[in-house]
Amino acid sequence: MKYVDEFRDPALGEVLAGEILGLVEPGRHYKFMEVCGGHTHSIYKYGIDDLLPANVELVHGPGCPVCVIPMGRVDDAISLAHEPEVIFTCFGDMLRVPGSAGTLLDAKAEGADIRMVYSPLDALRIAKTNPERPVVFFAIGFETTAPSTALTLKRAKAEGVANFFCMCNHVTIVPPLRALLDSPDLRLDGFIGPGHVSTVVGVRPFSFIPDEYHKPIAVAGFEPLDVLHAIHMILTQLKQGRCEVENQYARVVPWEGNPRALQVMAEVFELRPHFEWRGMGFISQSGLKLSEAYADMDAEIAYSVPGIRIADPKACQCGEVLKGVIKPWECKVFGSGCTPERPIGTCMVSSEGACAAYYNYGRFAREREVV
Amino acid sequence: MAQDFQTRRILGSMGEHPENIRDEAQDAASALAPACDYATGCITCGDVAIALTVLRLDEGRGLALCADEDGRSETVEIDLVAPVAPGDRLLVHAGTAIARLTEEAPQ
Repeated sequence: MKYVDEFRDPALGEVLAGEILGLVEPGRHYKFMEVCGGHTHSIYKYGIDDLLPANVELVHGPGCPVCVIPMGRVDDAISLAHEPEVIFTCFGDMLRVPGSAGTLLDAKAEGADIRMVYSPLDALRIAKTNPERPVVFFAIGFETTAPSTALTLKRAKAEGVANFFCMCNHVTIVPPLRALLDSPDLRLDGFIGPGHVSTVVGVRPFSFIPDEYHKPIAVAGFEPLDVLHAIHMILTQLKQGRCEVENQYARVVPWEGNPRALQVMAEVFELRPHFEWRGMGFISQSGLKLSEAYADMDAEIAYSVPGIRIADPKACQCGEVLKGVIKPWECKVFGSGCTPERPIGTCMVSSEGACAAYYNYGRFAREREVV
Repeated sequence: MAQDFQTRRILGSMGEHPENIRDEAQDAASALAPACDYATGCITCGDVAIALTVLRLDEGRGLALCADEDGRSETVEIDLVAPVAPGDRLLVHAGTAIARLTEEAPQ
């Protein structure tokens, strides 16, 4: 595939890996966080961590939207799906996220009309073809996905689709990064910034990381050479004593993001005072809800949802994995009680979740090491 | 508001629903791989965006029919990157084009 295969070129990868080796100082340990679950997936899929010097450690961040959904929100979703006549729509991975008493797939098996959609526009189509039934779309995702939901709600309003509702779980990327940087149990040397979120918000919102916390960050693409190049950029900054935001993914990410997307989001959403993140607790101004102008399409206003906070299962250490405090395989139930087929925690559900990505691609290498 | 909707439903719009409730979304999801598939992972949940080429425009509705390199097509919301023309390459996430693609090889 043109301009994809080039970014997977093993020869160029070897050159970059060699240069990275030349940039690290022996005796110093480097800890970089890849913020986005897409990067976690690429790192395990392509074995990028195997190409790095032993003293460069990659820590997985909170950038998988499914992984950070708390159990209480899943229970709220299941409650909505059981409302009479409701057609409940959501993306595929959400179907398998466990609530306190089962998943949305379990609810579907019990008779709830739950349908998987690929985009919010698909959910709107279902609403238009079933005008006699309320259709609820479970909106989830960072700023990459939020504009899509916003445009669909605008479209529904403009077309007068009165049976379309949204349960909004959209989150924003900057507040959890701040929470991580303020966390005393995690010391990071730099960040691989989220590529697709940045197509929307731009690169500028990450400037607080060098300005206030004095850490370098490189916004990166998702091909293996992109990730290696970003690590190269961060190490170069550290070697030269610099600390700034750099844009490795400039072929896609404009510095200012997508102003139209930001405008549409501002029109349709407003910040919640607090939003709960799995394993991280409540983070202020980190979640979005529908604005006053779209309140008539807000499923949480139209229907009563339990809204109860459910503690994560005791055995599950998703919180520590999401904060990068432990590696997936260090969780007590990883690969035994918790597998992609029967997940206990959210990180094992989405393929971009650190545990699922490691389970699918990385565990074989460790098994070899153990043998 | 749900009550209003229920009232409207009871008052007037019963009987307009199609017999065949196979939704177009399922077709869209199965036509474009990888898509929302809990065996291989959901590309929307994973913040994955895919490169698609514009085939033709529905300017009245602000939509475009786009295809990947294997010819699998889907309808894409183009509001965020408008104006576009057939042949343009777009980065698409959750059915919405979030950026235009300019091709660039690694240096």
